[in-house]
Amino acid sequence: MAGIWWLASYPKSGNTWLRVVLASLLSGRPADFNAMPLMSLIATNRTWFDSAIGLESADLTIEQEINLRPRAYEIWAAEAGQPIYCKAHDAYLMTPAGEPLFPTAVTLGAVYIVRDPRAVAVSYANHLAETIDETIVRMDDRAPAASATPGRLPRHQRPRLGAWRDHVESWLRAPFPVHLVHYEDMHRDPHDAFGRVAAFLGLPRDGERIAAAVDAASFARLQEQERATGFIEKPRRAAAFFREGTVDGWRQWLLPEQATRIAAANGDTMRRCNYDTLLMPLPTERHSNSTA
Amino acid sequence: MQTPAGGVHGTTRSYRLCGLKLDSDFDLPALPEWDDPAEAPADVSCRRGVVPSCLKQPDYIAPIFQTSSAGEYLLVLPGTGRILVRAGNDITVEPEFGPAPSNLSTILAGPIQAVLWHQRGLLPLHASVVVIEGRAVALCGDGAAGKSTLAAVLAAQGYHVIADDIGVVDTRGSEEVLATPGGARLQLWRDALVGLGVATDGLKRAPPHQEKYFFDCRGRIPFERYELAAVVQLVRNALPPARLVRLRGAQAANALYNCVHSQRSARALGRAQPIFAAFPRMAFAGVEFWRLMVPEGLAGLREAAARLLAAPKG
Repeated sequence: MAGIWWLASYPKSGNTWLRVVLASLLSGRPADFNAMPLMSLIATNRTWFDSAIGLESADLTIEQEINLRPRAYEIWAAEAGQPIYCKAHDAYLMTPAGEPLFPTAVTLGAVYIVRDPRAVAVSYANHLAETIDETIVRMDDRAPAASATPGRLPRHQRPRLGAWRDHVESWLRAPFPVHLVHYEDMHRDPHDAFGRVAAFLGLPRDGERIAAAVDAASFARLQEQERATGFIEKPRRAAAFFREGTVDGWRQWLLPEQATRIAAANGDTMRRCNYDTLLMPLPTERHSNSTA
Repeated sequence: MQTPAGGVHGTTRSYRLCGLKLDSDFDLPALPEWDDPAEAPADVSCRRGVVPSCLKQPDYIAPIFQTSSAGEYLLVLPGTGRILVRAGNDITVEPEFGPAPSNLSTILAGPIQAVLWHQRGLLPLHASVVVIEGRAVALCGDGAAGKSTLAAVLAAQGYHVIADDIGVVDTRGSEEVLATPGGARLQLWRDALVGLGVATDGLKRAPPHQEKYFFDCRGRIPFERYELAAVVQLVRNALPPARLVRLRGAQAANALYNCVHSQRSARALGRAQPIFAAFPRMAFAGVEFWRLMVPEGLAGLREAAARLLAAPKG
């Protein structure tokens, strides 16, 4: 059945990792993350939007662009002839024109990856080459626009993120099937976590193929490939896209007051996702307010 | 043509549209001004007027545009207005809310101009065009590919820029494929200008809501059509080095198709087959097709420019 599976998450929550595993699972061989068959499409892909709509998004106002994105997705779905797997960093939200950004009629469902926001803060700060305090403010900003880069035309359209808590809650309320997967579970038991995702998406899920796909997308392999070939999605200022890939590395980088601030702003959603809001950073000298 | 009740015609301005005279009710700063005799009749007009919300007999309906044969194209863009293009020479604009929206001139000079060329049977490439060794080279690519900045890098080395964003190619001749000069005014983002050592003070923004500026490479360029030497498809690469790869056969034909400006509109206007037929004519005329893989940043574009200039001939 044609339609779109959204592979959604707040940035730096394991989305690329998931897609490399799925690409390897589908192809039966280790995927190149710079050219993943069926898994390279991003909801904010400027080229695909421009091609579908027939205008350059760079010529449009932000409001025009976001109002037209549902039309682009309808065209993608209609012209693909098979299911599309599409990464999305936007929250599940309404356009200024008053309709869902991700149209239900062409949606098959969504996999939503959630990650402890304290770990997201550390990873996202590195990704954006900004301080952790700046990233904490960004993750608390309820305005939907992500960071602007007004001095140049970004390769992708700007995703509409909103606050971390709103992002998570929005996808969990979406009016189509949503499979929630924890980044932490992808680490602790990848075969089970990715197997469940594969089952939800109707993909092959026999143990050997899942195991091979998980091996092909191990963090060490992703880092090795990034060193060898680079990663097209890495921001210019970030040292590396695949940096640490740990579950609780944040405990070495956050200051206690930073962890407290994140938990205070996002506590309800964190508890709903089974994160211990009282967990504190380790007493170590590596705490830093600069980029980790 | 009727004027909407209460609408006010502004002063008509005349522009040079690849050798044609365009009279417009709207400011079109991306286009060079007409500097030949003022009494020359206009080849193309762009007027404020009443535009219907749909065509009478559309044969293609997309979310924001529709067409009726090759002769009529209607764009309905909420927040900007309605634009009707007829027969490759008549553009009627009904802005949505009285004064012209800030991005109207960008839309007119970009996709609407491309539609006009498609209706005229020419081939508008999504390209900036430079002249190297007396022949035109079309630097093609999607938005954010770096077409204009690469053209600016080459201009800084003394090469003439003859078009930005739209490179109009005439493949109708029996032996030659010709590129028509559009203008030497590039649209560059602030970061590119800073990297090139150009201050943005005094440069006009294009359009006003973005940090994108008009940058004139040279003064008036003579209207002289150039033989097209190459179509170069720019593709962003993850890591250095820049690479230049010659394309042949189906790869080259596919690259040409992907380099056409406003492909979806072109298909709706029945231009898919003529574009397909243009490829063998271009190949027969000696036009080369290349893919230029460009690393991120200005350093990557400079390296790409060096690769391009060192390309083997023939």
